[in-house]
Amino acid sequence: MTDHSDTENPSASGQHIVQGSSEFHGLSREIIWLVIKNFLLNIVTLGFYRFWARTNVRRYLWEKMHIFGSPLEYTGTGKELFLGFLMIILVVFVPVAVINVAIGSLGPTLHPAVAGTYSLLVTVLFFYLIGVATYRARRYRLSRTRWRSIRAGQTGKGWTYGLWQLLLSSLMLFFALILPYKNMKLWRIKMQNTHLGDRFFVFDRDGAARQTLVTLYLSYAVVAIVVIMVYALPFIAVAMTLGLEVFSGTMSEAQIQAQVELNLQNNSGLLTMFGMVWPVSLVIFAVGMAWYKLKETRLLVGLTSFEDLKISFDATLLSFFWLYLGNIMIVLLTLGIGFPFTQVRFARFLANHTNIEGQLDLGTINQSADDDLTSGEGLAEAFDMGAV
Amino acid sequence: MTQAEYFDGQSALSQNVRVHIEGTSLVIESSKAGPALARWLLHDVRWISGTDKPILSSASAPDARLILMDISLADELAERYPELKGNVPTAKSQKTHKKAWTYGLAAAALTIAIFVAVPWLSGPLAQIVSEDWRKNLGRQSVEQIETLLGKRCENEPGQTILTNMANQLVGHLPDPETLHVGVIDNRMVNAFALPGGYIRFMRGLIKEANSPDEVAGVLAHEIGHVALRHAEEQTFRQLGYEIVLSTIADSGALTEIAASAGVQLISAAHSREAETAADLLAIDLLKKSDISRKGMVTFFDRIEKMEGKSPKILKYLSSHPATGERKKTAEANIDSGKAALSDADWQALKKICD
Repeated sequence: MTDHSDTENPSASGQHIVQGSSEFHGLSREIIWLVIKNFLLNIVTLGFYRFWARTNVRRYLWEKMHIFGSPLEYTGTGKELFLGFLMIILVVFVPVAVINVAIGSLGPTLHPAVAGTYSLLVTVLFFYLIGVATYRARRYRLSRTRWRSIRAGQTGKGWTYGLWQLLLSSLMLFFALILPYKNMKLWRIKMQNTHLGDRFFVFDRDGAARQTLVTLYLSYAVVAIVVIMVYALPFIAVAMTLGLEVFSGTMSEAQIQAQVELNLQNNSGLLTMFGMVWPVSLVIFAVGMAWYKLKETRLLVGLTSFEDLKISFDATLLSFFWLYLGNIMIVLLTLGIGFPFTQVRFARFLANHTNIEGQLDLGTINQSADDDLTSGEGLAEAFDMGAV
Repeated sequence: MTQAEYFDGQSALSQNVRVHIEGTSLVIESSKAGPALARWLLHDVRWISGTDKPILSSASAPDARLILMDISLADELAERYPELKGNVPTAKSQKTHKKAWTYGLAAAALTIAIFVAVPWLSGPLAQIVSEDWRKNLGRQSVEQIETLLGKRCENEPGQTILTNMANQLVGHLPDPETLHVGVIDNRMVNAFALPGGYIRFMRGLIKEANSPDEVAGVLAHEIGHVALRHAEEQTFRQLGYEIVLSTIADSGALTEIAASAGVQLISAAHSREAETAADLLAIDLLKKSDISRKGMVTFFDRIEKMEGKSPKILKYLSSHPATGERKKTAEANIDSGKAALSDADWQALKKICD
């Protein structure tokens, strides 16, 4: 939380200049009956109620999120989500299925190269569409978000964003070190296109992005070195117990098998090594990536500003860990029905760890032209990307 | 007269206003003197939200917002427009909290009904479905499986020998049904029973078997499944769970994993029961056919060796009873008996795929 004293300012009515913080007033127990109702209607409608269910939960989450004392408002509808979903099924999935059937029936007569190229194309297309979907889903959610009667929104083209994401992600395959650059680039595109009314968010007002990128690369290098070392451990363990020959390629599979059997019988610790090292390395990898991701989020948020407001994010790895652990428990214990409770926890986490410095002149923010979106999140729905 | 905060829909700035109803309109006036800022026709008024304070808008000014400080006006509007009542947090709508209990009880009842009723109903359903339906389902599954796993081996006299062995075993059932036994050209060491009396061995199992008694043991086990209608039951159970899962699998990958893990555990427990029941029936059939039960024991013995020493937790997750347990069941009933096939017939059966 910030230490501003005027956070409890329920309505900034008549005031020009406001300041304060973000607060989330929602409680999981307040949506128990909503969650149960959604679950029941989902069963009765064989799952088709999900679009309306998601909308109901969002409406609650939004109106409990207060910024400078004023709540957000969610104006999206279940119908829009449903129509978007239907549209994508018709425009993307049906054509692909038809072509698949056609290719399948032509199968034996087709040159293998043609079939191979086709399946590669479809794979690339789907990766590309996931990028487009992420961007469009964000645009839909922002365009259905209001604060103090002012609509938010996102400009820019999903198709362009999808291309960037596809390009940078496929470069990752050959050059994993591009990750910090990739994430900053994608964040920049999203933020520079985000607006509240007629005022846009600004990325890197003070020209510190380059310096931040260097810091990000240093953190990434630390994680990479730790991960590589941990991944090397099992091989070192094997080499130590079985001797280096096993990697030289001179031993036959049967010989290696015999070596392993021998070691197992002698109980020389190989099994324990293998048994321990892999889970440990996975945990270290996960913790390392979480640490990096959190650091990246903090730095990227820090580079983002709106008017005279500077935003910062101060979540620690431990608090993030508790949030995640609790959410996993909720999902497991409720067989997933309680998922909205995790969204409430997440929203509270975001509000508690986001600080807003500076003052905002409300008089400068005016309504922008209506976004002409008529349906929402079709692609994201179709890819089952249920986001907050 | 109600105090409110008014956003004109143009700016993020708000004004303190007074609101009252005048005829068929809602009149919004500045708290300072001056003409009315806006007049909204009552039937244009929309409830935006209001868990804390009611927020209104108007169809004629969809960007404008009016936040009421006093709930009495909301009550008055709800009185005039009952169709809006459902969305208004008026004093009267506090009753919805009672509804929550009703919903809760209904959900609990439904959840129990599904997780208890699906397994409980699928058994009896499997017993009463028509012969035609079962045979049809079986034929379709067999066709699908054979396109996936491999062609059928139909070398004679192997096929006839296998059919005779099956008929001999099934003849000891009180209500013997027509079996369709075959071998699929696949190296896996496996066998399974499908709905409608369809039984398939994999070539790998026939090759791997050390004696005809082992094949007879497995065959008797699969006949046990057929007689107890396990495949049909499984089909119904799967269908039931799929309906449930499709409704709750809504909130991302984690949920789906959790839900299907739960179902996996429940159905694994169920199949373990089924496997044990099939074992017991198999022992009975072998005994009545005067075939040695030793084959069944040695076969389970070998499977156990192939599986290695897997941790106990796998026992709960796997659908077959731990082989050690099965061996004991079979061993306890071991008895003398003749070989299932003559040497010549056994050699012929082994060549069914060659």
